[in-house]
Amino acid sequence: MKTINNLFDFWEEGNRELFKNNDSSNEMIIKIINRSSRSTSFYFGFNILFYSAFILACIILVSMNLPMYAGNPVVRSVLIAQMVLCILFLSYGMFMFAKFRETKNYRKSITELLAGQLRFYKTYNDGWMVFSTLAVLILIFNLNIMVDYNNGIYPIYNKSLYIAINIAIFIFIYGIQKAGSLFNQRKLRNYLSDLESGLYGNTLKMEKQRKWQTVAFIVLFVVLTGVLILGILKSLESAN
Amino acid sequence: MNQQNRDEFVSLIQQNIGIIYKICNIYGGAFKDDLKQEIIYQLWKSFTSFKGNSKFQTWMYRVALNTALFESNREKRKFAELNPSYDIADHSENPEEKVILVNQLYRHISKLKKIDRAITLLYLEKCSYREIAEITGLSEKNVGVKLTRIKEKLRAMFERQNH
Repeated sequence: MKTINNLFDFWEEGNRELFKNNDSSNEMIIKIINRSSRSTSFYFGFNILFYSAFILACIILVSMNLPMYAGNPVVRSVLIAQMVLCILFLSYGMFMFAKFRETKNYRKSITELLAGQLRFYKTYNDGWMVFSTLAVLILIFNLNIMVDYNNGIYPIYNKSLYIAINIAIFIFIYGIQKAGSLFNQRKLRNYLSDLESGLYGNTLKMEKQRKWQTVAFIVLFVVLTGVLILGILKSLESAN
Repeated sequence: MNQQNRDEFVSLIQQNIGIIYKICNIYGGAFKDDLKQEIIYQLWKSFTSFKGNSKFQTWMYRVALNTALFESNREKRKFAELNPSYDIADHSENPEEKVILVNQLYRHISKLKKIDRAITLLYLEKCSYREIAEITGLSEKNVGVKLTRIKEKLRAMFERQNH
């Protein structure tokens, strides 16, 4: 242990020597603080904003379809229900964005941050993934009824197939999002476990598993894409 | 934030830029520059919250380490092969050898778990157990236990390297 304690003797001086040519000018610092963030959290925030824009598009489409299908009580009820859902999803998106910003409060201790982020992924984000996936389905439905408009009638010839395709799309989009979220949760859980239990190996084990998770993610993506394509082919087949 | 705030921030960062470079060397891998930019950016964003209740360095370690832990997913280790390899107990007076020793240490620290790297850095920076506990959220006792284990690990790494 004595040798490790000797680290103090050269740590500061060695570092000074190591970084003596590094840029620490005013200009460099000012340039950085004037830019915008390109961090992973920036992309996550972007994801929330992207889906919120998606939901907004749904609201616009539903409000365009409503007068077209005013004479069809079934479609009209469905559209009103979708409009209410979309407004609720959008409000949830804004709430999520605020909650997400809270999890990025880097003034907290590492333990507090980890616990907060884990809570966020396990609760708020899970709901958001379901809602954003439903918004995609609502958008597809509204695009279909707009394109196939026929005097206020929207016939579904094969109901079970229609439901199956919608379920396949839901599983596909939700599955992809969930896989990414599970990986994040796992990483945070392992950090927290490393901190609190003092046991060795969690994050190191995770790093080794990372490759397998990537493979599993690709397999899941291929399978779900296959299910989606099969569903579309089946629907085309039955339409013909 | 006004001009006075900005000048104060720039001056404080300049005085403590070494902290950022050390953290980037430990967590940044091949993306040190990206991480440096992100840390400075996050420090700037959080600067209004710094009220001087704690030491600036303690606040800076906290924000910078959290940024390194939570914002840096890209981590490709890239360390040049070091030759010759110096024994840590040699107590070299030569500045070049000190750089090599520090580089060896960085290489070993980078093999530790991310959380342990943070604790090691704070220890090397002569932070007290209390400060380390404050930054990580661990108890002081737990910090002591972890540091003992980390030192054992580092010693084993140096021994393996020198044999």
